[in-house]
Amino acid sequence: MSWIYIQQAIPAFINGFFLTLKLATIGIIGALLLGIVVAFWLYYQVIGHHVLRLYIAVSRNTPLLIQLFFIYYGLPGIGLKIPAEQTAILGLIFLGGSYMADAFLGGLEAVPKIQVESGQVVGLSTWQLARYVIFPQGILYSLPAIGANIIFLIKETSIFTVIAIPEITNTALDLIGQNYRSNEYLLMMVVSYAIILIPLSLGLSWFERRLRRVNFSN
Amino acid sequence: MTDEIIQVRHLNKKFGDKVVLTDINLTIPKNKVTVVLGPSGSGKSTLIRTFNGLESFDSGDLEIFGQKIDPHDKKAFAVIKHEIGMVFQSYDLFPNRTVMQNITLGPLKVQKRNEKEVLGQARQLLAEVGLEKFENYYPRQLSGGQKQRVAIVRALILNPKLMLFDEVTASLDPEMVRGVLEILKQLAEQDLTMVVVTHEMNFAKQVADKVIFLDSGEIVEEQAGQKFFQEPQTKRARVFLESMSF
Repeated sequence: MSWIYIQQAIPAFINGFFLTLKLATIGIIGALLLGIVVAFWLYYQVIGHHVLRLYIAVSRNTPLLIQLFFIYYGLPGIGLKIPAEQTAILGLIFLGGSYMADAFLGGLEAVPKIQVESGQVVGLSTWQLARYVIFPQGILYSLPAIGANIIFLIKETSIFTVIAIPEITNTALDLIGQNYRSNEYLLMMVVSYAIILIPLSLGLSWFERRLRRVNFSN
Repeated sequence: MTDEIIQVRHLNKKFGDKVVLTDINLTIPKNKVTVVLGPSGSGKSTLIRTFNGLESFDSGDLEIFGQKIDPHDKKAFAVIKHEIGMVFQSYDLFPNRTVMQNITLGPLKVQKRNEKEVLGQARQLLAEVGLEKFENYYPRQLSGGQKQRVAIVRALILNPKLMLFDEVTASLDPEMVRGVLEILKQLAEQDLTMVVVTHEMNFAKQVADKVIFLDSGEIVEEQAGQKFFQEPQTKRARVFLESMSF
């Protein structure tokens, strides 16, 4: 283990770290929004919900690697050329959207029927019921799964290396290829992911516990 | 306007193959307390849930406030639903909202009333049920009886023309029951139109202007309150009253 290689690689890893963080953040926000829309669509069985079931099946049962290849190398065949970073974000939204939709849907369906009826008898419209009763309670039931999905999606960003995005994994592999110092760069890669994931994981657990304590039980 | 707030004619309902209501004919008089009695599983709750659209029905006629309800029209109750208050057995306050937020959600978001006026009425109603100090509490911080009183206030603040009570004391500890029943008695004295499903026979006897006795989804007896308790006309009702031994 040579300290000098680690020192020299720090700027590259910082860039990779922030790029990973940026792509993950945008992708996860997109996945959350897509997930909420899909979950409500399925919850209310709005017309077209069968198509969304198909989307979930395709998204969950194909690897992100293949999804990225399809977007990055496949779509230009029909004239749609999407730059690498946007491909990465789209891939993460496509994959994460289905996982988030399942998590949200599970939460919405866990809200007791009598809560919905309580909202109906005070006259709430479907939209008001969703906003004031079903969503705020459903999200609490969904939180553990949403937290797990966020961690999962951040780890999936390591696959972006296949479309040459200089995120953390790509940075490590690139430097190993240049300098043949596996131990140093693999260690830096692990540390970089740990800096993101361990506090996030602890923070999500804390947040989940706190919200449950505040809001659950009638 | 007739003196009947609800008229039901030949109403039938099934859950799958199971018949739950058979040829129901009844009227609910205005400004009176109608008590629905019957053994468990006789269709009492299902019956009153058809009065506010929580349950649809398969055939027959239902007229509420003079408006005929189409059982297949999901929006049939859209115009009148906030004129019908309901309190459930398990109170079911919204756990993510404070007492005040539970109470004011309907008047502010559905009826679009003035916030100051709504808050004033909410505080007055809370004081009437002895909960004026609890407006910022969450449901989990209240006892069962307190939650049920909040649920009653949440329904009353909509100024309903009709109140439905579905076994509102069934989940409460015995010492909580009295407080809730006292509130219901006060409401009865205010000439609010009420339909009450209950197993509290003493209470029913005190407040009922009219009794509807159901068994196996059929109305066995529909009778003036005192007459039902003193001279039930059917053997089934007599057996039921004896079994309740109040």
